[in-house]
Amino acid sequence: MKTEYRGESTEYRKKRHSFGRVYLAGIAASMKSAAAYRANFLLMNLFDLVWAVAAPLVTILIYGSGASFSGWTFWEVMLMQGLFELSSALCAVFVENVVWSTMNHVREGSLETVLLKPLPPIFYMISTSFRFDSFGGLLGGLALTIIAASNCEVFLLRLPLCILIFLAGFAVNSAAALISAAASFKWVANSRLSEIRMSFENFGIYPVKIFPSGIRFAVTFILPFAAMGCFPAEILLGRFDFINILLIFPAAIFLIFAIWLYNHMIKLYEGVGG
Amino acid sequence: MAIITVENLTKTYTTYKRGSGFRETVKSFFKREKVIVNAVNDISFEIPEGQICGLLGPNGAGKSTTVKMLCGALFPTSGRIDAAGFSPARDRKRYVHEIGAVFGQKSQLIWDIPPEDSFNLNRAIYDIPRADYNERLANMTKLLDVEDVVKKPTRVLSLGERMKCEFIMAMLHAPKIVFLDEPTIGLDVIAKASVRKFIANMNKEGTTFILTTHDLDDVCELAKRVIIINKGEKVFDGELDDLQHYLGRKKIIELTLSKPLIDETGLNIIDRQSDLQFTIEADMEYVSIREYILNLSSKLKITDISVKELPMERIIADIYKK
Repeated sequence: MKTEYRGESTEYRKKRHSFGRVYLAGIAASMKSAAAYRANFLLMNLFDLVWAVAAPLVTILIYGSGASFSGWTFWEVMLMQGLFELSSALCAVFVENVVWSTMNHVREGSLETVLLKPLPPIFYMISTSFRFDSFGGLLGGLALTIIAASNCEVFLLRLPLCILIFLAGFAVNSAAALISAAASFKWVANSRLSEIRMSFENFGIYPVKIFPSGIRFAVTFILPFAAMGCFPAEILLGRFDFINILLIFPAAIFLIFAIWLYNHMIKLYEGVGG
Repeated sequence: MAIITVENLTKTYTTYKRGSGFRETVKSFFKREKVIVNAVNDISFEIPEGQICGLLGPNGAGKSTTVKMLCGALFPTSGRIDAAGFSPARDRKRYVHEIGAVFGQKSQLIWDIPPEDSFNLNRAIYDIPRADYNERLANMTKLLDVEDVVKKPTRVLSLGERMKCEFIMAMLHAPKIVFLDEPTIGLDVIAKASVRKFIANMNKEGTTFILTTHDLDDVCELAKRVIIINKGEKVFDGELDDLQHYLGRKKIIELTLSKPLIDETGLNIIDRQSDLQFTIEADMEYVSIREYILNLSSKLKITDISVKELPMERIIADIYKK
């Protein structure tokens, strides 16, 4: 990179900043922040890891008592829950923290410091809200998924489709997080919204077939939370109803809406002030 | 040449009145009364490139709102701002490359990690070439005497050390305009002096500063030009020397006498320490200081006298009260 900085310095100013570099620098800063409190960092990760592995405990109990989700073997349910944990942890690591940092900025009236950066505010918030101490959940989910998959008959050729639907599930959950972040511009201290989102998440952790048809439709085609765990598992196990691929559209629309809403709230803030 | 031009800048916003008692609270839950606030009302000014301009005003006068609009964080209701060739709120993403800001009460540093790591984040955000970054960082840390401080976690720094690092954070990308909002609030005498020296130094290199403060020493030591805002309106705009004479050519005279004062007519006594010691305010608009003192000494038995300018606090307080 040329160093046209001093003198008539406008040359470098006109260049677009590299989003990738900013994101990496944001992650580096988050990593250092997390490492500053080593005990907290280790404990949080350990807790998330244990939680990710222990969460399917209910399933183990159900199967241990002789009952089951009809049509699903024990390891198949584990695969679904592993994928769900992975999706949920991805959101916790990459997106969820935006809710808390937005709320803090609004409450403390320090949003100007974000608006001073030559970046889209939503991008700046996401790149500085990376959470290293939720990494445990990621590892736990990944471990559970791999162990479960090795105990089932999976169609590895369907992996690309599985990843597509899995990403759609991640997008839906992230969009829900961004919407609760956007809500905190008007509605400061709305921790309940996150709880609502987490209860929605639960629709992704069980086979959709156990739900009544109305809910099944809603979590497939309106807010496709079922794409977090259930559908990716179904794809790998070869029992996916291909019409459900259409859920990528509502997932994309939901994400676009969430980003629009967040930006809109920033605009409103610029209009009226803190 | 003006780097900032502000024309008829106005900002109004709507808030809701909320009562304090139980009844009022319940009432406001169902029906809220709208209140329209005229935060900034038809302000115009120009700031030439390379100036340090003090922006003064009592709490709630509209200073912060003005600064927020100048930073691009707030859309004006009406009026026009041209700063470094941009309309701040509309061209915000490009415009903020050209500006920096230090808010005395809001930190831009990341709390848990050393300032140096926060600086690195800014290096990526503003895409500052490594060589320039290193050079500027070395210069500024030396000027502010914080070479070692920038390596310690922000949360363990003293307020003075942190503020110095806030300055570096705001200025690493060589902004053309820097907004300072209460930059010396809570600092000790030495830290204040060091921060002021830094501002003066950076100003010599061509940076324009807009300084909002309640510390008049900041203004007296740094700013040549002062704009005073009160109740959303501009009430004074001019050189610091003109402000000194804003209330007329008044002087403060401290007198010590050998005999108690009998006749007080014609004397505007503003402070009386004892029967023999008091302070008067005298208007030099129509008499020269020589005549005034000759006249005084013919009437009184003076053993000591000192003549001073009207203190800046007094002038500002008078303007605020208007």
